[in-house]
Amino acid sequence: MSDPYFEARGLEEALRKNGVVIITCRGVSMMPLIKNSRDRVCAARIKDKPAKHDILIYRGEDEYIAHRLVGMQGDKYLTCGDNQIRPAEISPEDVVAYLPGMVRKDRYLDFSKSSAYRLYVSVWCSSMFLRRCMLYIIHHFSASYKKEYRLQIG
Amino acid sequence: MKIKENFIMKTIAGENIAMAVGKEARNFPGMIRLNETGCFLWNLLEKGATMETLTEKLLEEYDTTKENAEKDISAFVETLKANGILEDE
Repeated sequence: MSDPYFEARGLEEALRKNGVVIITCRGVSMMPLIKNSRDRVCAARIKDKPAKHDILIYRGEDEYIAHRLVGMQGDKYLTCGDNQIRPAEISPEDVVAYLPGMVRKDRYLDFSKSSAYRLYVSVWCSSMFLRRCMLYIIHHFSASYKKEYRLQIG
Repeated sequence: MKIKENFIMKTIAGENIAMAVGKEARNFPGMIRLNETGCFLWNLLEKGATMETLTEKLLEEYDTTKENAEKDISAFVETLKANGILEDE
């Protein structure tokens, strides 16, 4: 909490103040749900224990990470991005927020109300084998899975 | 005055949050948190309202003075205008 790196980012401060923060996500680990630099997510301060399949925001090594809670390992949480197949272990103390919904194109998608979202979660989280197959297909056919383009000189 | 088409208000985790969607989100990627009175005014402005209508309706619904209501409404409207959320009809 006292790490200046995180304080500089202001997310936790904003969460304390407003309860909810809207963030544009970077990275591909939550694809195909959250698209890199395009979709915005709503982060809400965590109050109770999160439920399985909630998307959590936690303090990573040098940035905040949004991944889905897929299980428990002792008193640790197991989280996994939708675009990943190996869960990672995190400490519940590092969790700062959960995502109640996201903005996609011209509408707000409320995760607790959308039946399409629930269907997506039940299919996507049903088995890692199935996910591996689906990811293989998507990676092959989707242009949005191209590498992030960045030209840096010097 | 009217709220532009691409601005919406949603209750997210118990908070009333106004935000931009679609192309408008490029100009306004953030959000505005509204309390109950803010929501009340937002709902009226979604349909379109003048300062007079807003004051009138607010006084019908809430226990406050006309002076107070006018002061708060103009501050609220100014905030929305400053963020490009309102358009003239």
